[in-house]
Amino acid sequence: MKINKPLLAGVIAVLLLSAISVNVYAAVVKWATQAPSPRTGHNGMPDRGEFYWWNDPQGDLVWGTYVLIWDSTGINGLKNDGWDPELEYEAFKPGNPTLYCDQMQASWFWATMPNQGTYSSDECGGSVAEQWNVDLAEGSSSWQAGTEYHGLGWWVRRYWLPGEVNFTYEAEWQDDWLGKMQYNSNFDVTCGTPSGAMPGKPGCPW
Amino acid sequence: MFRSKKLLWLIACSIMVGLAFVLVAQVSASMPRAMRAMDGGLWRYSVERNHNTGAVLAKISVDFADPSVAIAYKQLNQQYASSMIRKSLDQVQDVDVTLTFTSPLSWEDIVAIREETGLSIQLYTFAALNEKGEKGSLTGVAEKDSSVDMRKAIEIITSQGYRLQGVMMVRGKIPNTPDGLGKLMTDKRIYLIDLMANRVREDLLERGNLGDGLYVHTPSPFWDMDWN
Repeated sequence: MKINKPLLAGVIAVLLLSAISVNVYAAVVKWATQAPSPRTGHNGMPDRGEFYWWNDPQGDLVWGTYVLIWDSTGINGLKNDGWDPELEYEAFKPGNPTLYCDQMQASWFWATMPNQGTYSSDECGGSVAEQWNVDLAEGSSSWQAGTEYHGLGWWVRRYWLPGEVNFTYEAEWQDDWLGKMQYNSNFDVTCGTPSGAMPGKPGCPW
Repeated sequence: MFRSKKLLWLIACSIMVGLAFVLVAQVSASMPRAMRAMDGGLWRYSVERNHNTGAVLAKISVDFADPSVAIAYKQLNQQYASSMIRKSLDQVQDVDVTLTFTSPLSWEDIVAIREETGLSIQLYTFAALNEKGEKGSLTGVAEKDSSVDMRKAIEIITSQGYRLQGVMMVRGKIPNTPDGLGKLMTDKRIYLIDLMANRVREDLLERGNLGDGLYVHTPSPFWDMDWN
């Protein structure tokens, strides 16, 4: 059998590019009015949601997921995603954890989804806890499909510099990125990705 | 001609072996970290090392939704607590503890427990309910003296349309003495005294896997308990 080498090379290249794009664009949190798209990551990921950012220049900095909705497939998936499904609220750039570190410190976390506890951690090595993790109670009978769950973090501002925050679903230590927001040196949010997850703000440049 | 063909085959095979190594390395890097089953699979833990800080994060998993597992896990912790108190005759030490309460405790109750037992607290989880009876949890990082800004806690809970019920869970350290851990064991308001973070630490030490710092996350069944 003759092999068409240019065709084979093309197929391999397309497959490689597809794999890369799945890794980079695996965002499933969407503005609630958008139609759901097929999941690309874990089965227990939330189906859609909406980000939240509240900057009181004199006091609180609050951000997180004001709307986070699982459908029935996702809730069933939570129970089958292996061990330790979690939500991560990261005040730095996860792909490059030396960027935007130590600019905010975790202080409080509010959660209305069934959970087994919440903890903060220093992810950058600067003795500042810049991440909140919510340990989801996958076995809880109180999960409800279509319910708007809230997950909001209160943060102490340390350095007034531009930066970004990220949202991730994790199971078995494997991350599925849900999106991000970027902010300027006044801690005013400038954009949200995926576009529409931060109402009124366009998608962030890469 | 024969020799050059042989050489070509050798080069091709070397490339294939090299590619295979790269592939295996990539797959290994993206594979889930090892999980370790403990006490016949009653509970388990998994670890991940933070490449940026060198610290190790360990997460404990327990299937609290299975009543037989929940009871057995509670008994396991009671036995372990007794052995730790016996150890205090040789060596008094502060051990990691996560307390889940039977129902929400008032702030005054928590302060009394702290003063009576020497408990130092790193994290508090408050329980809150709204008018529909829906649940919300608020976790706060404690100050070095184990205190927390209660005014702020109430302000946040109220701003979300909920009312504070009390404290359902705390994480911290307790002396392994009869007056410390021993007193906690006789307190009927405590549903679970979870000490398995110490078992994880011992296990990792035995296996030589302790990093530059270790944090063990211990799950709590607080969400599905009665908050009224």
